[in-house]
Amino acid sequence: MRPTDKIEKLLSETAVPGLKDGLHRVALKRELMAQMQSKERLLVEEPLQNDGDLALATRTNPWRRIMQPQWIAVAAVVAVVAVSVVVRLTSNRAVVAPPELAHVASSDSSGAAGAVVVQPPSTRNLSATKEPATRSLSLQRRTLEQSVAGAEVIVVATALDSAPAPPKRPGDGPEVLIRFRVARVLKGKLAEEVITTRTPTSADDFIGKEWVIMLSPEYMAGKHQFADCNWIKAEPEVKAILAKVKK
Amino acid sequence: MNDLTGDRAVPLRHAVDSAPPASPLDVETELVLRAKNDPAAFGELYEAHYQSILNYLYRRTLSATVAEDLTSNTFFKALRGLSGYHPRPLIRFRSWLYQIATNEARMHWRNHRGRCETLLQSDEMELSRITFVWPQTDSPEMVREKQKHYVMVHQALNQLPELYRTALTLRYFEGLGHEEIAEILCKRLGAVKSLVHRGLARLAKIMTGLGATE
Repeated sequence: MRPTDKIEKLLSETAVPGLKDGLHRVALKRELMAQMQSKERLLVEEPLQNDGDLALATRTNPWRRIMQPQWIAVAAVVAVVAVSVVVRLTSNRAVVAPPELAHVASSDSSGAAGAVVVQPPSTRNLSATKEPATRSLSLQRRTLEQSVAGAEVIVVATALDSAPAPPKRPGDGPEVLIRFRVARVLKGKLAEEVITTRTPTSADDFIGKEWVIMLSPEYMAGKHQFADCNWIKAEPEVKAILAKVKK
Repeated sequence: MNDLTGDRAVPLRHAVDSAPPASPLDVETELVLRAKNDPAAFGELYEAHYQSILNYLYRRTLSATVAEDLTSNTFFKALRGLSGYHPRPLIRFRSWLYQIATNEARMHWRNHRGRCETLLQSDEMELSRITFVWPQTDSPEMVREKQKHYVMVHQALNQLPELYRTALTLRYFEGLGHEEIAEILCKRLGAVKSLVHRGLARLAKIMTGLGATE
């Protein structure tokens, strides 16, 4: 007898085990039936256009599993949260608009070439959001008339020196404090001879030159240290506007 | 010379096993087509094939829990794939189920390669569920003895490459004919016969090494 025959005989004579019926049979059948019935329900809800093809009738599209109501609800919530986060980030970015933007806005408005504007700049302070009107105005194109009208005090002053300004919050951009000696007052009343303003612009642009500085009511109230700063060439125009307003 | 063309050597077991004889193909085809839409028809197919698939997977894994899990996977996959299943002439639904079950067993062994030995030890509770329908065995001692012998054969089979192991299990433990094994393994008839023959030769070497053929 060859070895393969022997093995064949051994395998043929080996008693093979089986499993007796258990609860599994019933439980599995119940699950299968439930799954099949839910599949049928889906098909009833979305009747097929091609009702002649059995294969098509039982085919479940993969996206149908994704388009469950709970997934749609979750997707909607995620979308709302994402939009609100984007809106919040965008609004923060508007508040912390770069100083260059303020520069351009002001130089256009003054009509004088090279006008430098020191605007309330990047502050993430929440209190800043309490003045949306002021802030949005500062970011829009302001005419010189508007700046003059909005200022409580307008002075002509010479920049003396500067010092780095302490950051208000970690991560704030570098800013400087500049001291000005007041030469004359064009509008309002000012007791101090030396004033200090805060600006993100480099101090080298200011030192040793005369400037027309417009101090807002908030500056005068001590709420912040930012002020509009225009070239001295704008002084006659400012005076003309003031004269026009007096009339 | 060894006859590779006939089914002469081995009596088919499914005449005495729990698996039902293959139903006439046209009746089965009609039932399968109905089962695509009709839960009752699918239930009929399930009842007809559950026991044979469970037993097959038990014989492959030697763990009742694992066999039940794999049987569940097999039927869930069958339900999912039923819409794409097109009955072909001369190919049985049972072969398709065996094909899925074989893949499940293969995946199981692949994932649990390092843990084969622990699976081979059936506990007492599991032993009470085991039955040897052929030859009929009732006493627990006989069951334990036969189980021990089967485990020994199973261990030898496990040393064979997967394809040989599957072919021999289907042939000698499930009692399937070469044609049906060819359907399950998606191979030609001649390839299956040669596979079984070469599997036997390899197993003979292994068994001789173990001293089990004496």
